[in-house]
Amino acid sequence: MLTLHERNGLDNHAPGDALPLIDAHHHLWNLSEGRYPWLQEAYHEDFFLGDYHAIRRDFGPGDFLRVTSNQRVIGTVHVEAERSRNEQIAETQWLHRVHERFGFPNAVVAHAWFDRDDTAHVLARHASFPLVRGIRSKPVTSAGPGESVSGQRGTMQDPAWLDGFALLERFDLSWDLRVPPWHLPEAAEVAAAFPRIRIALNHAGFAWDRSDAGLRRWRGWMEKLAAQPNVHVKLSEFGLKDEPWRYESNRVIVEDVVAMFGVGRCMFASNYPVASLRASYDTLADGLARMLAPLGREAQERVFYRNALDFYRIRM
Amino acid sequence: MTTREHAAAEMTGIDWRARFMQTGCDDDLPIADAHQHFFDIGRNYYPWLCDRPLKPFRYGDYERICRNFLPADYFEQCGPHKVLKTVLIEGEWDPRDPLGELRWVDEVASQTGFPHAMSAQAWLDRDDIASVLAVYGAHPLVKGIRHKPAAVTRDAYRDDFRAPGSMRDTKWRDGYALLARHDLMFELQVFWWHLAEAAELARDFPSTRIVVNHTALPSDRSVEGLAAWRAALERLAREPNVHLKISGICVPGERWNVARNGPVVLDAIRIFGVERCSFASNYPVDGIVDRLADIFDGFKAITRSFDPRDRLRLFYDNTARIYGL
Repeated sequence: MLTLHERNGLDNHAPGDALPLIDAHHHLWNLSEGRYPWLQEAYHEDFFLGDYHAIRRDFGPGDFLRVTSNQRVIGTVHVEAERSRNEQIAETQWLHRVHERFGFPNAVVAHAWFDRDDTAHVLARHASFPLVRGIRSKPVTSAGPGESVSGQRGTMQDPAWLDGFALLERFDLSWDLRVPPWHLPEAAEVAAAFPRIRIALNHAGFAWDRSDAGLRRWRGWMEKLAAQPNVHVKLSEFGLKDEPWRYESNRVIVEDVVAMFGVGRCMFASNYPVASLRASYDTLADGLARMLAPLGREAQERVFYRNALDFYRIRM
Repeated sequence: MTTREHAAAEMTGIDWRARFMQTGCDDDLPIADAHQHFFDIGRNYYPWLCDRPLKPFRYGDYERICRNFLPADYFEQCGPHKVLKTVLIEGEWDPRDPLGELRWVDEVASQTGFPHAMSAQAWLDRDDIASVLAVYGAHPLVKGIRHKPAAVTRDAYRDDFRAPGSMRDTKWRDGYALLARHDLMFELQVFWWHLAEAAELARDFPSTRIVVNHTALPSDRSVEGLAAWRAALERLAREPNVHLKISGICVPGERWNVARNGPVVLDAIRIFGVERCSFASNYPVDGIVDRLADIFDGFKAITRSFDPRDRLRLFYDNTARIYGL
């Protein structure tokens, strides 16, 4: 398996015994090529990691190769980067051009709204591209755990949203699930209602509240999802709003997720460049490898690349 | 007119139908071309255009069309004719990647406004047909698919003809059965001596419309050949779910002429009726023999004595109706 760096004729400084790695969740953007409102226009004061000025600039394939030069990256999965919703297909087209030139990304998770009249059309357009494997679409969610939006337009209970969601099965597409953690039980209901649609939970379900009580609550929500066999998890984005990236604190999250989902349903992912607000790429990859070391090399390999190969049906 | 000017002319809201009904002038007759192709052979792989030696073809040597043909080329060549919309039929793109042509055509359509609809490549007897048809069925551009069924020469044809990949093949029919679910039409390109099989298909799948390509290819213009072609069309025309595209009737070595093609066109319209026929250019393929403007000139000359409303049907309305333009 050639690394991205070998494919591009670049030096790579990964140690000889480094784990092969598929980054199951990262983004690329070229701000002169496309329109990304959250990166170019109104700044979001409520961004989940706080100040994100540092990533409001281009992050292209060359940048990705640079930050991963100490890792043995053999493939990547690009997840839609909130490009203007008028440019959903253009984002998919652009990523296929990047793939042609750089040999990655190797799978594309594109964006579509589920509750629109043209949902089927947009899904069909995406599905006509050879690298498209899934859709990320954020349902309408509430501002906090004490508040419910259940049943409103665009939520996971909206019949129109569910009709669009059901189309994923027809196009053989998976769903990338990204919601605040208090919505995970509702997501588990969706997963149970559509057992043949495969779901990838983003960012380990966002364990934002690391107090004992907070972690207990998050575990309760995650267990509901873990009970659905069609749900997989990305071990990524442990970043917190007002705290640095701490190995020990994040190790607890990883151990919990692996205990709940098993090594067969966990995937390494970086969420770069967003995660660069808190940690270097090596901190993320080496840190996770170390957290998983007690489980043995085979478990590490499953989490670092084999599960992503299967889930996203990546052809190398 | 360039593509852009052309699209602009359409958008400025000239009502060509009203104008034509008023003036009766041939130049004002709006056209929806029911069968054309675009090629970009630098960028895309079409085995029959890119590989050498060239394949045997009913029009003979086709080297002159082994080049790019894009909307701007179409409108440069269509003379005074008011082609407002076009339907692109798959152009034998790399068969390993049927969806590839759709991706490219979708891009061309979003950049130039043409074509307005498409019938895409599909292989009804392949294992992945269900997922390919799911994409086509939901894609706003795609209205039908074409899979040229297995066929033989007239000499070799027997009434009980059946072969893998033919219209009587079980696996092929299993794929065909899925078309109704996705509301896709079937573009049938086959020589007329195979039309008895098409009639069975039309009867067995009454909710799928068959669109016969190129007038069922009356290449043999002998008295006997044309009589047999007419008889085959008459038999198929009894099935209500069949439409006929009148195109692809160039005669190699001759410039498109009414004396030669008038009887063919008039027979086809008599047999299928003015509600079930559409004129089409088959450009650039018919460019092997004829000029684009000459083809539409010919259709106009042949139908000059028709009721203007029937001419609108043949040149525009029927195509707009069945392809949902």
